[in-house]
Amino acid sequence: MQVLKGKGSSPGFALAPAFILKNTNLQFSHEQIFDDIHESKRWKAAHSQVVHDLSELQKKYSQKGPQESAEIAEAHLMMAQDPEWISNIESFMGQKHQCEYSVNKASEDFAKMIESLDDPYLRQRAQDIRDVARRILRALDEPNSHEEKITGDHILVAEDLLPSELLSLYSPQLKGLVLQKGNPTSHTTILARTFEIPTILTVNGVMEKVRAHDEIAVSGMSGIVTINPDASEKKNIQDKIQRDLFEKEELKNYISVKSVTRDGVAIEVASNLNSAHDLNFALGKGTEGIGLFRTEFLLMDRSAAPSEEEQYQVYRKVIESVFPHKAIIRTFDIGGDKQVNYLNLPKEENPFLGLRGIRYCLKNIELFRTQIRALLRAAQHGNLGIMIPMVTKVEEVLEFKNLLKKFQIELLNEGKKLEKSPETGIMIEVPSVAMIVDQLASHLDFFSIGTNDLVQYLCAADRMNSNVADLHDAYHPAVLRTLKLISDGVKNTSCWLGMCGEMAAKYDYQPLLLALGFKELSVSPGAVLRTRKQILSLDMESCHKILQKALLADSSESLKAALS
Amino acid sequence: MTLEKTFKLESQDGLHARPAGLFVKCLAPYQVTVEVELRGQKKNGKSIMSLMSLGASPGDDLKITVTGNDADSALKCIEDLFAKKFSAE
Repeated sequence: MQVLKGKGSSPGFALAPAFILKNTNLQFSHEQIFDDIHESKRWKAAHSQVVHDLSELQKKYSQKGPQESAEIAEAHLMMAQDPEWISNIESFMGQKHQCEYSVNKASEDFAKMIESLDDPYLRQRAQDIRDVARRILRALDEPNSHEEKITGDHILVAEDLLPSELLSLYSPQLKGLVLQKGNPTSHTTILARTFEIPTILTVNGVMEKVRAHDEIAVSGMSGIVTINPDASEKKNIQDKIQRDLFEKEELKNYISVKSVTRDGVAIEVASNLNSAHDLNFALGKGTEGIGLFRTEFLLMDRSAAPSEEEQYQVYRKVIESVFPHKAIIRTFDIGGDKQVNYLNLPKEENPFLGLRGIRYCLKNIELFRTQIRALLRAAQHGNLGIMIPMVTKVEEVLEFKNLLKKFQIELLNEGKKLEKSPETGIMIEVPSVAMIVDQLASHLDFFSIGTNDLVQYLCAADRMNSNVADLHDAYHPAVLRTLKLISDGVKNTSCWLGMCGEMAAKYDYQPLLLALGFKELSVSPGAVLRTRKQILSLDMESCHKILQKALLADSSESLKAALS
Repeated sequence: MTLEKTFKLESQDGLHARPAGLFVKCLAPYQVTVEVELRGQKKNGKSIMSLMSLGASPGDDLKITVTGNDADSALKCIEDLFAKKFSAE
């Protein structure tokens, strides 16, 4: 038995033999002279094989499967048949280049052109072109080996996987995905979540350590991969798989049900999203709006900040998709542990107490201006709430509101129609702001509690530091008292109170949140249905009783006991 | 025969993979060459990659030139596509 750790990216458990996807050799010569007739023959064979495989894929997914998969397969097929691309490849081969080089060059030319566009959706299509190219390169590398047929349940182990590769390899027997590389916001990961395949990324050394047909256990949430688990570990995983299956079936009954307690109090169960690509998944889980959209991910993995137009398109898509529910979009929360190269964030001794969230934005107005203008425009398409992170005092809120007004006037002067104004609110992450919610309320429409940071700042403990991680304790009585303080502060104001941190998905804690008057719980999309089921089983009277008991607890042990 | 007409892109999104795909598909049966022009850039209308690389957004005017025996029917098909704002049937 050997245990490896990676980044859990799609939850769930699996136990099955490994199927290892061999790496493709992507090395090719740029300088040598090749026989164009021979290269052209190789090209024709590889090309017709890829077109054949992609048509099969398209057929498979147009009959059933999520809409995204059919669209990806269809787009890839059309790209593989693109006359301009084909003629460029043939003309490179005519100049005595190797087939591999020609395919790569023609594809990169298009990919780079598309990558330089403003439209974020189109920019991502560059990856689709590279995906089609890599298919051809694979076919050239191993002619006539149509994709290997895999029979029986299996866990796919690969260095990395393209979206179209996942689509071709996907079957109900694909139980898990373990990648040595991989990216949590890539299309492959998003598809894995849509297919609900437990997935673990960035598992170092997995390609060397796993042999074909080794048995593998996957815990998609915690990111743990066990190679050849022993009997007790096997039993453990099998039990979890059974429990999940049973639960998944049962939870389907809650997709189009409203989240209302037994005595009629409606709660919004919304989703936290890192990317607009996860929207369909969240909608499929019956999410009642988006309670936290993390915009800082728009800044990452690129060389310059996105334009107003690009941001507008993303925000608009989020807002429109969840209408008539609300979309709460949080302004850039950078700094702290989130670094962005081109923004030249200062190197700080103590980044979590440094220039992060709204502090950064108020000092870098240009970046903020672009974002707020995009948000104000997008607000016209539904119900938007703008949420600012890392607020510690009233003055920051006032400064933000002034800027908001200034950018509104700017847009109006440019002739933009702004008939709808977004709601405004803040994250409560810092103890200082928890103590003054009543003073802030007249300037705002809502408060949403970010629990990881709130607990971190309350307990002065970093949960990533294993020496003190146990001190980062959501069940510390001080945390409950702080929530009570916030709840009392919001009472008798016109603001609503929500929670978008991990605690919102802690099932034992949810009765307390209801008793404290939370109107919205925003959780990861995979936790929406379980949260809804729980709310439907609760009534306010018993929630209040639990809260009374819990408020008397003087340790996290006794608090947990009060909740059980 | 060569026909030329300018269309305003009124679909909700820009010329993304799906609308570009519909455009290419609708032209496939015809013996024509098609040129799509935006801001001085001319692209092959039968190539999905070229169409996407125009980066056309809503409100843009696309000048379309169709040449060949079937120019008439091909242009008719494009007109339908723009009239329906690229929505699938």
